[in-house]
Amino acid sequence: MTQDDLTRKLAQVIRDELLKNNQVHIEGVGLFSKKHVPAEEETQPDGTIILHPPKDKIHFEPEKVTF
Amino acid sequence: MKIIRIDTLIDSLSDELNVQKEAVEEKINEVLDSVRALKDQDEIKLAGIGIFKRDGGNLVYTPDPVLDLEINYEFAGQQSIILAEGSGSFFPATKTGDDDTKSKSGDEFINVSAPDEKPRKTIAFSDEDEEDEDQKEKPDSADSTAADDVINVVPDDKVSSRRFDFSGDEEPEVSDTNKSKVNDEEKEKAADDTEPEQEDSGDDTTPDLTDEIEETDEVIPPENLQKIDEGGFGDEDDKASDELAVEFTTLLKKMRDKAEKASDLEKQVEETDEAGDEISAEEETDVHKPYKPKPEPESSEPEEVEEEKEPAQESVANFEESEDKNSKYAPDYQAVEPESIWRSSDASDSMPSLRKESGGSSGSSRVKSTQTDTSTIGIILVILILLIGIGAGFYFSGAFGDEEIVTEEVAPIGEDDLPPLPDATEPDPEPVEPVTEPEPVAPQPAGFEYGLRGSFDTAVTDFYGIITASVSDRRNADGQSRTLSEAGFRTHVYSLRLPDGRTTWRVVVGQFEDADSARAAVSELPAQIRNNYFVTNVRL
Repeated sequence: MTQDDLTRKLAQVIRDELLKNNQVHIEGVGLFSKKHVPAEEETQPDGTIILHPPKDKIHFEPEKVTF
Repeated sequence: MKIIRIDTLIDSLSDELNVQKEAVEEKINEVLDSVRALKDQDEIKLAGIGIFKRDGGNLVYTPDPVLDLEINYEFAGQQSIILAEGSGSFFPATKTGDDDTKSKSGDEFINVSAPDEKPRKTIAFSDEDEEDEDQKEKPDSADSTAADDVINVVPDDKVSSRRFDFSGDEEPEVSDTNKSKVNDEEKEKAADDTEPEQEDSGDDTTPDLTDEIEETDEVIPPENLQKIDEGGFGDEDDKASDELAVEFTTLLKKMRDKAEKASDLEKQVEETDEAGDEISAEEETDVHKPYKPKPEPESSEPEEVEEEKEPAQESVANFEESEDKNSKYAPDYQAVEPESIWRSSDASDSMPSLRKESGGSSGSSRVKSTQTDTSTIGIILVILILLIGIGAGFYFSGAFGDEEIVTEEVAPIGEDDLPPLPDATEPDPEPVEPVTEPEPVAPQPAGFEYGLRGSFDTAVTDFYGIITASVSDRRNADGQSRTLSEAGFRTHVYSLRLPDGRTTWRVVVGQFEDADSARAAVSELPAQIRNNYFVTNVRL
């Protein structure tokens, strides 16, 4: 198994945990979590109003590096 | 919401990959160490996870698009929509390097102009009074050719003068000879119109139909105009119409003839069927009138019959030749002698219509058939009456006979010869008594004593006993019997066939002369049995 395969498998595991609404903490890297962004309206300068759909995205909080 | 640590991830990975945990942990740590060791502005891409970049001491993470899509699977495919359009231009913006109309979400939107762009203006209609900068720059639209995306509206004064005003200053390009005629006729028509005329004026912009007609090159000659008004056709049209009319009339004639023939045939068929039912020519002139029976005496009937009789074949031929059937019907009658028929049958007397309406051979056959029918019906009725009478006779004769027998025999029998039947009536109260009375009809053997205890005497086959068990398994019955006999009770097990065909094994305790003594002895039985027993007459 190559490193890429392993990282893909790791990504799948992280994805599964995030879909369960869990947070994944990797020491020395940071905290992965899922955040829900609701739908929002955006008004353009010319008056155009655009409605953006809601979505779930990965939120990453890096770990503070202590030197 | 739980926080999953890397150890858990490694465990799940090792289970999924079926690899030792240490090996997985080692490789994962190698990957993560490479991320942890990133220097400023360095970045590393992990397949399936994303890109990690060190930016000023902070680690910036850009997720992999596939991972991002999988996380957003619920809302994947949804796109932004425009709720309201602004005042910008509505044409697609030409894409340039600087023209990136991206919103904060990063998506490009079409049909939205950048705020810095000057909106394009398109001229659809313009009034004379409006002054537009673009129009000022452009030459006069009336004189110049119209642009591809600009609709030029010619000022009204020029248009009216050219197209709609026929005051005489400008003549359209029409031939003079035809034009004069058309003008005169159209003016007459316009004068006859009920609508108010519109005076042509220099400022009048509303076009007149007459003016438009004058303008056309194709002038309709007045002759054709008249024909059009009258509904006439041209020469060729006349010929075609005449031919069509001729064909139509011929078709109509043919259809009429066919209809007449069909009606004639129907009449003939009806009249041949009703030859015997036809009314005399003296009485009716129209064959189609309904028949009306006459209350005339029988003596006059044969005379009328002779006058009206006619063979069916000749009558049919006469009908085919002439329209007036009644006139030819009477003289063509031939005398037929159906007198024998009328005289022989009794049904004719009851049916006067047949006498008058006698016709040819077909009519007589019809009469014969009706007579035979009536005769058969009469015979059947007679037979039925006879059968009913015979049945009634048997019924009544049998009834009277029974009574006679009873009256004759009851008297002597009732006194001495009657069997001792009073037992059937008297013992109504007795069925109770013999039960109480010592019914063990079987004689008791010597030395036998009734009772609850002791040894069961099988010689006594008729007695009263206490049934303590009634089971389907004999072993259970034997077991209970054994226990009771060991206790000193007189027990016996016997089988009994139930009405439904099943066999049951009963345990009877004691032998008693009557049911009362058996019930009295129940108190001596054990408590378990005392609660579940019944007393019955046992006959082995």
